[in-house]
Amino acid sequence: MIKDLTSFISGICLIILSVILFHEANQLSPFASVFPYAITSVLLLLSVLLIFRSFKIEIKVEKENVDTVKIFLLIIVFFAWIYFLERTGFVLTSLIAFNLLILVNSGLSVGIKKIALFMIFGSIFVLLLYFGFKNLLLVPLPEGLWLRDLQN
Amino acid sequence: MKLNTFFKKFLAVISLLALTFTSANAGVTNIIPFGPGGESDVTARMQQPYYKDIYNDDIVVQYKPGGGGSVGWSSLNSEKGDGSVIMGVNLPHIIMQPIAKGDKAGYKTEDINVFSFFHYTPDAILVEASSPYNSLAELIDFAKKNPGKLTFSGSGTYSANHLLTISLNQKANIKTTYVPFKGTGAAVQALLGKQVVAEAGYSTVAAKQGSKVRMLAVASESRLPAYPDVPTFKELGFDIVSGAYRGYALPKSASAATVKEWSDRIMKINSDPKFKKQMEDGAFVVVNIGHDQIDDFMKQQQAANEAIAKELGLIK
Amino acid sequence: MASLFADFLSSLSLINLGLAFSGVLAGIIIGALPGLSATMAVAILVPFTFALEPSSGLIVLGAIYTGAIFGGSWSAILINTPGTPSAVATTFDGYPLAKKGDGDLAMSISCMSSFVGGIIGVICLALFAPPLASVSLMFGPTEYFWLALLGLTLISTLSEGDNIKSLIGACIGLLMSMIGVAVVGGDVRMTWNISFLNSGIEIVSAMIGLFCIPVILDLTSMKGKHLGENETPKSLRLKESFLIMFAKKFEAVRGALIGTFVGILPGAGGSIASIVSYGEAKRTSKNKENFGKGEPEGLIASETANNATVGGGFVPTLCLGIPGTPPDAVILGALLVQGIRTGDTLFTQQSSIVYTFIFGLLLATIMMLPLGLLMGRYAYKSLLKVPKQVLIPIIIFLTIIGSYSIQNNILNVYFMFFFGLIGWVLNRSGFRASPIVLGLVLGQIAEQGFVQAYIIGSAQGSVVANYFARPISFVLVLLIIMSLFFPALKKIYKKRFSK
Repeated sequence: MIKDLTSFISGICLIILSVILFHEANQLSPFASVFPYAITSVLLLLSVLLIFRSFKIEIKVEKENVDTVKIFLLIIVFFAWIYFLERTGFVLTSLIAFNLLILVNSGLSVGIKKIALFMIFGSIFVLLLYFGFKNLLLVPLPEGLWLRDLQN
Repeated sequence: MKLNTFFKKFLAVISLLALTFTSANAGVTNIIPFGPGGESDVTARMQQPYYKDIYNDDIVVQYKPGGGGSVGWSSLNSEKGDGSVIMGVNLPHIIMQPIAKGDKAGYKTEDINVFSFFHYTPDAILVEASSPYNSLAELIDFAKKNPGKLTFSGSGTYSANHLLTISLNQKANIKTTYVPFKGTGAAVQALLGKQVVAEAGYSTVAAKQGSKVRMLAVASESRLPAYPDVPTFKELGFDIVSGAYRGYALPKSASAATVKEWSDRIMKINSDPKFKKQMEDGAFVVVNIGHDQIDDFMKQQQAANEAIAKELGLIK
Repeated sequence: MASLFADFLSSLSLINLGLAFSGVLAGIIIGALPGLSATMAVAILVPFTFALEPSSGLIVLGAIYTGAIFGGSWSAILINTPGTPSAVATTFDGYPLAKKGDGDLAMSISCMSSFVGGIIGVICLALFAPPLASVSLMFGPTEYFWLALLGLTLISTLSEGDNIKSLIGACIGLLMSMIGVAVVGGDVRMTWNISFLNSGIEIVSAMIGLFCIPVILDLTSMKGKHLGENETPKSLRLKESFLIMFAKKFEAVRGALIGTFVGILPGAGGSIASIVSYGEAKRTSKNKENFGKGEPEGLIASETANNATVGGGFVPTLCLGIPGTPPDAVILGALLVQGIRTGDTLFTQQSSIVYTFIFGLLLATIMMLPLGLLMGRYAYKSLLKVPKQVLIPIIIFLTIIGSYSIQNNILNVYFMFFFGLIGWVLNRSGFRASPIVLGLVLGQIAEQGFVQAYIIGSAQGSVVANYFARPISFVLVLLIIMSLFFPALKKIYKKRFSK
């Protein structure tokens, strides 16, 4: 029945989005609402077209098989890296997260010696960039609120 | 091969050490809540060499733009309060934003620990050099005869530029059309390209554009030293004295002593005649509002801005 | 004439040469790091220029600027992430080339294209600045609106067969551009009380998220190397690149001219220039189908255009005191602090400053060629050697430190991350990033132009006249109609006549 499931689901999501946006646009002053109304209308129209099309044909999207475990772990560590940046400070967080990611990506297929080598070079790289950004480019990288509290 | 990698490692470690020891962070940080290149940035940079001369220390300018300044101001109080960090503040912004946007602004005016204002740029009405209007009176005349046809370019809606046109409309009893643009640059461009009849801008536009524009009136108390021929609104019979004030604030956690110390420093730079001249040449009006006058000044400004906001219907 | 020669000589002073060289070097590195834009590079260096002569200060700033615009292509080619927003169209064909194993070719072509674009931009600046400035003033809100619309018609060329999804992508981009405080009306739109979004979607972190994160996620989850390798190693395929450039010299010059022209319009920057140039190249190319899969023409179009905006952007900056591109705003600030007035006086009374600077910029662009080729070769080789397990964390690290540095705000990093996840999901659902970015980049210009033109038109008495009865607008509307209907008409024409 539905030939193109992805398009169908996308279409439904977009229709919901359009409704929300129409609601938002309602509360705007005249000038500021012109474009929102106009574009949202076009979006609604296109979403409907997409849904209709999903019954007739499928335009294939290239998808390779995905290693879900790795992706999941990557996303978790990535997010944690960002989350802890301001709490445990840039250097510490980055060194830990960076090396964790090496582990995640190596999985079981890479030998320990190699992993250790990666970690050493990687950490040097992290430190180099850290000091480069901090002292040369004068970017105030997070110091770490938790560490500051520990000192007090 | 082995020697090669060892050499690379060695280089890496050396450069690491070199980087750590170069420019280890001395100096104080001045966070400008706008992007680089604007008036706040320019005046901060003008202060840098004088600060270095007097206090033998560097002011490091950093940018934290967003939300017309609100991103910076809402994060001010999470900075260190030991005097190593100050932040640029602007009026009417820090008063108008919480009024106009309520919670969406991200901060309240009382949260900002302002300790000084060191200059302001008065509002001004400008026309392009080839324009037929040589005085504000002529411009107003045109507006009276052609209601709505006098177009002003300016930066943003409910900004200082916009409010200037509203004040003028009320006081001169005319109807004009305000066309908002994104930023002063775009507003000036529209003026120079003759897309609009005039611009509601700042005196600094005249400084930057020189002979390409003509300043018809300026909203300062008295005439600007660099522009002795330009009348003030007051002289012309309109009680309009307004503009954007710029100054600095410390995080709330700063001690009273730190506040006083910083206020004195900024005022000291202000008192340098070379600095004054540099500012005046750029059409900035130097003011000396230090920490002891801040409370009264802010109260005054708050009242004035609330009155305007009521008229505009921003608050009931 | 004599004074011009004197200016040329002073641009060759040891200090200025050294500044040009180190400026380009630093600029390339900074531009290559995602998150660090040309604007930031210039802003960091401004305080150091106060100790220099005005013309020397300008030279180093210009050198960094042009180096950064070129450097942005490196990460665009190697990790599909525009190092600077101006390199966005470089990802369209640069990255596919690298994946195919032609990364060294891409790096060389990019360098040569940036060189050509930069030179032509500076030459136009040197020879035609005042008349070009007058042209840029003729562009009012109406013209900006039609120009943005013309840019949006490129969506049809960017779509890879799925027109509906491309159009939807463009709509999404347009809607995203409306987030924040509306210029006309003052309303705070679609921020859902997140004050961080008040100034709208920050384009650099959005691009890093949209372009880079999906690549990282795919790299992690799928087998196989990151970039393909070519059997013929070593020489960075200079000869081959040069032959390609020479064969496409017309396209290269055209891209540079488009870039220069877009550069003189304040508010339009390298990103718009590279996109418009790319779309134009694709529309008129004989190898249309190859665009997006690694077509050198696309790469040339993008890189010539964005480097040309450096020279072009200085036209309104120096002649009108209105910044042509964001880095120009910083440079203007620096000039103001030094007490230099822009405008006609700059070209008449203080002409030696301007011309020394222009020659210096020319020299910096020339230096960029060998420097870029050499460093590019080193960068490419190094990247190939890095094993995937370390490469992925390195790229993630760069995205984090880069997006943080944009505004010294951790929220940008979160934003980049979540945007990336959304981008990855969109990718897998068949929505490509390029139409979205197109909408995002052009949306504000289109909307502001439209509404401002309306206000001015109704104040002047006739709205319709203000939209159409203007010479430049008329031409633009014709171009839009042509570019929309021409392909369809061509098809019908062919069908009729092949019978």
